[in-house]
Amino acid sequence: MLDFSSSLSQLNGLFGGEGLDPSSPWMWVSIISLAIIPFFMMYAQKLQSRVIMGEISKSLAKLKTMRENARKEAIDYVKNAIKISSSSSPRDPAVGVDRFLEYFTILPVDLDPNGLVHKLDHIMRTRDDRVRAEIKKLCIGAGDKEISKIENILEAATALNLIYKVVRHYYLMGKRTTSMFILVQLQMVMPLLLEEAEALQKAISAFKRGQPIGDSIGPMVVGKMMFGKEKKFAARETIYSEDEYRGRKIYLLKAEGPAGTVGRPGEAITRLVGDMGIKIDTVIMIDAALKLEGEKTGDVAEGIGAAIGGIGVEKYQVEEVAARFNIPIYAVIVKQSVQDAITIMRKEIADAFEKVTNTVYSVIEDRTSEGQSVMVIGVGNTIGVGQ
Amino acid sequence: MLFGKKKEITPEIYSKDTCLSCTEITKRHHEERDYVYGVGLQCKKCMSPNTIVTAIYGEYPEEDR
Repeated sequence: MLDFSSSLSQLNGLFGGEGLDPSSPWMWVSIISLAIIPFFMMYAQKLQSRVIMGEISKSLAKLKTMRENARKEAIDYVKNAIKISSSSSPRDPAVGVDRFLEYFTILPVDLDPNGLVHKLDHIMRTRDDRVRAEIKKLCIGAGDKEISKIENILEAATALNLIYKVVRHYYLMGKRTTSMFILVQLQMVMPLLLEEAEALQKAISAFKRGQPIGDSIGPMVVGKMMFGKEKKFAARETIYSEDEYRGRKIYLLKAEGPAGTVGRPGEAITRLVGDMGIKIDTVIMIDAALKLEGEKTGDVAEGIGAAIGGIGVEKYQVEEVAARFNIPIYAVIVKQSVQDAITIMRKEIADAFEKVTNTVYSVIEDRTSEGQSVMVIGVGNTIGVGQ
Repeated sequence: MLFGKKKEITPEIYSKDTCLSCTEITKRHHEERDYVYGVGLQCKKCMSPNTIVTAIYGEYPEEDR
């Protein structure tokens, strides 16, 4: 405090003050204001990191609760809805469910992309078979419909588990390295991840009750067209029917409902057109498609190309057959968000049914002539939708 | 509601039955056994048991649309 007054006078002079008055409260306001600047220069980032870490940790706690709930729901479903034979399956379903949640798939190497889709197809089939076998082992005596429900529930629970683990990984990494950049990136994507996690959690209840989801609109439209007609085997969990419309032969293809499956439309079209030699002049695919923000749920649009999601194997197979036999592919889509696609079908999507049906028939009339053949494929999960 | 908790909105789930005899459409609350193109409840207009479920959907409150 010896030379403090003189230093203050100098500072005061710098700011154009006329004289120093140590009793004035404004002098202390100036001192504190000046002292805060170096403090924030040194500690602002740390403070911000703390705030971000607090926010992420709250979201992480939410994700953890969702994951635990999903796990519990899956275990309860297996316990209650499925008749577990105690003599042949003495194990607790929790062990099997937990093992399933940690199940992973290693995708094939893509350094040499030649034949990649076939490798991918092989891996995915092996995975499907293994998962199906594990579920059958877990719930002996369960029917195919129940097994497909459990498969869907476990897939949603696995996705939730993965989201939680990845977020926790980056959170802990950011905390350990005190890296603002990791934390900020995580904070930015967190609302989207939470939205997706909430949708997955809601999807579980729709799967448990076997109710149609937004993605089921394609099978729903084709299911109506198939209603009352003979159903034939097309591929695993995939069926087709034949019909006539204004002089055109119509082949209707969808996954076999009301089980929760997407079927194998790619394999089906390869078998029907490629192997069985059925002549097709046009393919029309009906599917749910992601809407952009601002677009309305349930809007219907038409376009060109294979309307089918997933890892790409089915899309490749459809495109391959179409290109080999020079078949044009038309697409009719129903717009919806990711949340709408995996939760109970919204009224707006169900209301689009008539419009989609009319669009399909108008494409058939406009793009084909009498005597030609058309294949209409209802793409999507057919849970809660029969035929 | 700046710091309020986001209210969870659950949809009301309905099934729509279509009578194959008189084409009457009936909206009712969803039942566990229902599935689209499965057997519906008896038609209230013509009393025919020949009905099918033609839609199952969730209706959200007006403000959430």
